[in-house]
Amino acid sequence: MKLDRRDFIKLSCATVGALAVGSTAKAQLFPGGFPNPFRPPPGKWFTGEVTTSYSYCEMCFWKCGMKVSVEGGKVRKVDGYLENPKSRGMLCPRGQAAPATTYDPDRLKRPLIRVEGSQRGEGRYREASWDEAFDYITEKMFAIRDEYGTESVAFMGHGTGDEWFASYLPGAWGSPNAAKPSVSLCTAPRETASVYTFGRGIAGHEQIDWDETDYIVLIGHHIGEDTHNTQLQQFAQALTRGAKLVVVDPRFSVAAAKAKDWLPIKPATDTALLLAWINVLIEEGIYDAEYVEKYTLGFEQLAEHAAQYTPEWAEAITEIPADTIRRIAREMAAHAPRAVLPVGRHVVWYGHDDSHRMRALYFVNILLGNYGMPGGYYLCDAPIVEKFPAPELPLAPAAGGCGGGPVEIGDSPFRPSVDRGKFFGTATSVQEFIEPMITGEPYPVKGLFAYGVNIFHSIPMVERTKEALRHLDLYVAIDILPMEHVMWADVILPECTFLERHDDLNLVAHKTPFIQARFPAVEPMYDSKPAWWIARELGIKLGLGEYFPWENIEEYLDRRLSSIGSSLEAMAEQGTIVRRGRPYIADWERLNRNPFDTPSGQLEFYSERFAEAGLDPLPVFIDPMEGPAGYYRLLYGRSPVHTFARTHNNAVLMEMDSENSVWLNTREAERLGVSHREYVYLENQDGVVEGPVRANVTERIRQDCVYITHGYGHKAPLMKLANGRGASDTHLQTRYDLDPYSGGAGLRNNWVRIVPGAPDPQHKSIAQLVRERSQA
Amino acid sequence: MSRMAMAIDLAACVGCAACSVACKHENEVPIGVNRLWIRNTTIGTFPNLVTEFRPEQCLHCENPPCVPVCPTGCCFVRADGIVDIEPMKCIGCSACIAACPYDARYMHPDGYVSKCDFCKHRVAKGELPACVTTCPTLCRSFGDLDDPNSDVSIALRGARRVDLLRPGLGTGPKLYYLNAPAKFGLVGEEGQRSS
Amino acid sequence: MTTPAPQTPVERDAEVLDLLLQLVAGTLRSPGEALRDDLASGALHRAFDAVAEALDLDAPTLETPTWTTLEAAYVDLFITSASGIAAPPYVGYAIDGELMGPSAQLLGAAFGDYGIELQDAWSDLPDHVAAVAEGGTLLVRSDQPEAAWTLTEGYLAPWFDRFATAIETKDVSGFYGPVTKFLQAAIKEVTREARS
Repeated sequence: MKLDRRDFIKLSCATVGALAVGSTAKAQLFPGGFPNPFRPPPGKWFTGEVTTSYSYCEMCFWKCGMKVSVEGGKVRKVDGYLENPKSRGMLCPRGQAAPATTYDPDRLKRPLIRVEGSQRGEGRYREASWDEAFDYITEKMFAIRDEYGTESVAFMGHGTGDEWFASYLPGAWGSPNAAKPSVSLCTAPRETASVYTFGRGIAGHEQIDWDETDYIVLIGHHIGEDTHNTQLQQFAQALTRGAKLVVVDPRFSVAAAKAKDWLPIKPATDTALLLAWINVLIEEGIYDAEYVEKYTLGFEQLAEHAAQYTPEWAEAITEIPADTIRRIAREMAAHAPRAVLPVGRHVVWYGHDDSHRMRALYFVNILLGNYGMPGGYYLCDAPIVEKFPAPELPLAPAAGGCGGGPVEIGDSPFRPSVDRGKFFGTATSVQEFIEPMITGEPYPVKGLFAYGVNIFHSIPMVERTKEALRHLDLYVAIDILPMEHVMWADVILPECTFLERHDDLNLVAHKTPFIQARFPAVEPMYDSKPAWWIARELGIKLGLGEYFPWENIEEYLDRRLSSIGSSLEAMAEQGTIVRRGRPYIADWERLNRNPFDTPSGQLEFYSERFAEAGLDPLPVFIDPMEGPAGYYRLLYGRSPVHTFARTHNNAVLMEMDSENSVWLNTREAERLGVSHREYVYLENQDGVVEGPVRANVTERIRQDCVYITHGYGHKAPLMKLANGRGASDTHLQTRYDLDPYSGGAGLRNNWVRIVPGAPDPQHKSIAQLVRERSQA
Repeated sequence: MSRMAMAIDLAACVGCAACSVACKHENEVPIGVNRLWIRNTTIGTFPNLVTEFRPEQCLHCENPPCVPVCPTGCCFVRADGIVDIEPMKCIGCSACIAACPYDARYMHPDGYVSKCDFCKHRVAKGELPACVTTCPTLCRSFGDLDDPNSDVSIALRGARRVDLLRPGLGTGPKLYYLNAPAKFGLVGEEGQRSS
Repeated sequence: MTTPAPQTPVERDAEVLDLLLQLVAGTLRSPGEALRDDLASGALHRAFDAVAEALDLDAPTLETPTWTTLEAAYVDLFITSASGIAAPPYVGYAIDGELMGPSAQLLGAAFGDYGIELQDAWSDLPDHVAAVAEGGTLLVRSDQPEAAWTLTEGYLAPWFDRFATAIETKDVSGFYGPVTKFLQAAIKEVTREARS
């Protein structure tokens, strides 16, 4: 050794600083050196010292209460618990797989800043400290504010933390351009229709009184493929109890496989079927006349309006025999009020038609006399827990939330959102942010925060979105995985997974309203941080510290819980606090209260407010958008083991369902010469091609449409398990139609042709990819 | 003596695989192999169709073909009827894997054979197997066949019909399928094994 | 007149090992001021030369990329990359195929038993290759060279064997590829020598 160690002083003294010699060196248990890592596997986790803590799931939006088991500093297992009204002791496959996301080696680890001079999408980054990342963001936000105004920074969010990034921070900062794909790309029509019919929104938990119902009609509602845990439990229990099931769907869905009647309706004609049911219930006098008399407004107009919608008229449109339409209507009526047509979740199907369809669906329920009655729709409100005392936000509420209620700018100095005036409803529509980024109209959108949303797998017209991102002055992505859109951001902020963090209380509108809490089971891995921390630190840097007067989340939560006589400590022992609800109209009448918050105080068939706005006061059937000859309407749905495009890098879930396939009717496949499991391409009406994707040649779908599950077809090589498997429905959605009532974007207006002869992509098994990830 | 058994109500099962994922984490089953999986089969012609979702796993046979072929005695039937494996005694010869007509056994990467053991560690604590506990359709019942008040005994008594997987083999499975959706019982085994 | 006692092989090699571990820790941590200075002063190159000479290896030919290129390459190889990172920098992952798996836990426990603790300021996993190497230097300097050898052989060598080629293939900086390949060879040599 000729090297003088002092010559090498910098590296040696300023090395990692990861480890240090402790003050008390212990006895050496391994006198021969470090133990050989290649050794027989240790005992199973459950033989070790296991501790548990409470959380609620973030693997999807349903948010089931769970208990998290930790052993050896690592999360080993999650389970539901009986006291929680969401999980009731059970979890779906996605919840069960939560640990595999926390320990996904592809996770985002540290804040990153895009290398100066590189292009968005090129993916060149350098590490940054949180401070430096916040400074970078703050400087750009101030520049945008000074040149264009605070409104020119837009915010998109999804998940529990979206309260901070799609509501609170934009409210403090002063931008009404805050929106959630979960509204205008999912639930918006059902909410607008609900608010303007019942005077109440649809709760996130979807208030169907499953436990009391005897007759269920599902319309394009994929229970079983949508594994909304509680809903699936109660659906299965209702069937086991003997409730009858009718499923209306162009596809023999999992739910259809459980039905006594499957009505394979022609796609895009559901409203016609519902209007015909309204017709039969009224014409045959089998609706609940007493209920209608007591609780509704505008029945005469509805009866007059519905007279035209005969079952024969509907048969010609829907391809469901008039006799069947009549028979089902009579069966519903015979079981009423314990007969229910549950509201779906993702209801942005055909755009212009969507709010009409939702209103017609609600009307059938009202005619059955089931709204607010056992076996129908129960009434629910979220439990009230006071906010942490803080100054009123300059602009609140900033984002529309899922409620579909109005977002009022009022007297504030802020400009209204860029989509204001386009739609009757006032929840902000996320897809409407894209065009102003490109055109600057009605005013420029120059900054964007994407929190937990996958904008290339939710917003249609993906190429337009990419074009819009190129026009921005600032694009910040906050996520846990390097989704493709994340790798376009100027600043990437790594959030820790829900198993590693506190979050705000979850207040659930439910038959028994309840409050559930989330506690970290383990410390955050890497340099990842929770959303509440990121929002607060950034808020302070932006000079908005007065709106974040809590020191930490423990103080914040404890203060909120104290308002209901609880505490963070008590909640750690309890997980969930369950309240009593007022699920039925009778519960309200006993208190002399009216649950229907409409101008008339009644359930409104005829809407004066729509009429005044020049819209149809009663639901109508409008001919759907059609596609070119030789093409199939592209329908999409879910895999039971996946959420959005979010879980496709989870090794356990990907092993269960590793690629999607395109469902193609057997006779069409014969005509095209496509064999089962063969790889094909999908080409849409605008020439966009997806695949290769396997053909699922099946009897389970009509001949005029094809179907794929959503969320596959990732184009992000870093997502090593997700990348390149299957086809993306979102990328094939280059055409959508807007619902003038809710601002929802109807996505089932795209058509594809099957291009046979795609090469077999020779996908490796998930097990092989998992092995290779560690043995590159 | 007891005879632990499981019943799965096919009228309720939707094939969501929550059972399979729960099993994976509970029993630390490596990626690439599974103790339980779903077989998903459709028969009929549009629009008259039947789709069956059938979870499959070790059936804990009363007359298990896997046990007598084991040269080391590591495969055995416990007093409670659970067909079990002692991994430390297993030499990885795979005879039992070949002998099982239900393909329920796999080779663990560490060189021993493994399979469903009805979560015997949970059963020992008076808990249900992980798949039973988590199932959102409540389609699984578990318990002692010799106890008329056990969940599984009650489920069997209440079923419209009860089927066994390939009963002609004489293996005496203690995994029962209830309320198969097809009129003739369980559908063939050509369906897609989804996990 | 006294002459120093002749060094035993372990003592002599401990100096080499110490420097080698410093190189692992210094080059495979996130690039910072120390690396920047050592690159600029030539100290890093001299250290590589010294190790190479001691082990009778060819010293790596290191390009001197711009600092921006170096930073971006590090992120691309080890942290987050649009095309997929080459190497998760965790030794347990290379051994077990999972994060915070049994080897990582065993390693953490063993460090504890040697009186070496994780610093609060460290915001990454305890089995990060740079952290483990630093732990090795602490062992050498606290007169526990035997432990440093077994640590290097049991935990660092597998990581380099798994990932060095992938890093070399993906590296665009001309720095991390040669560095990793050299460190892999040096670790192989130094552990072979220690055994013999």
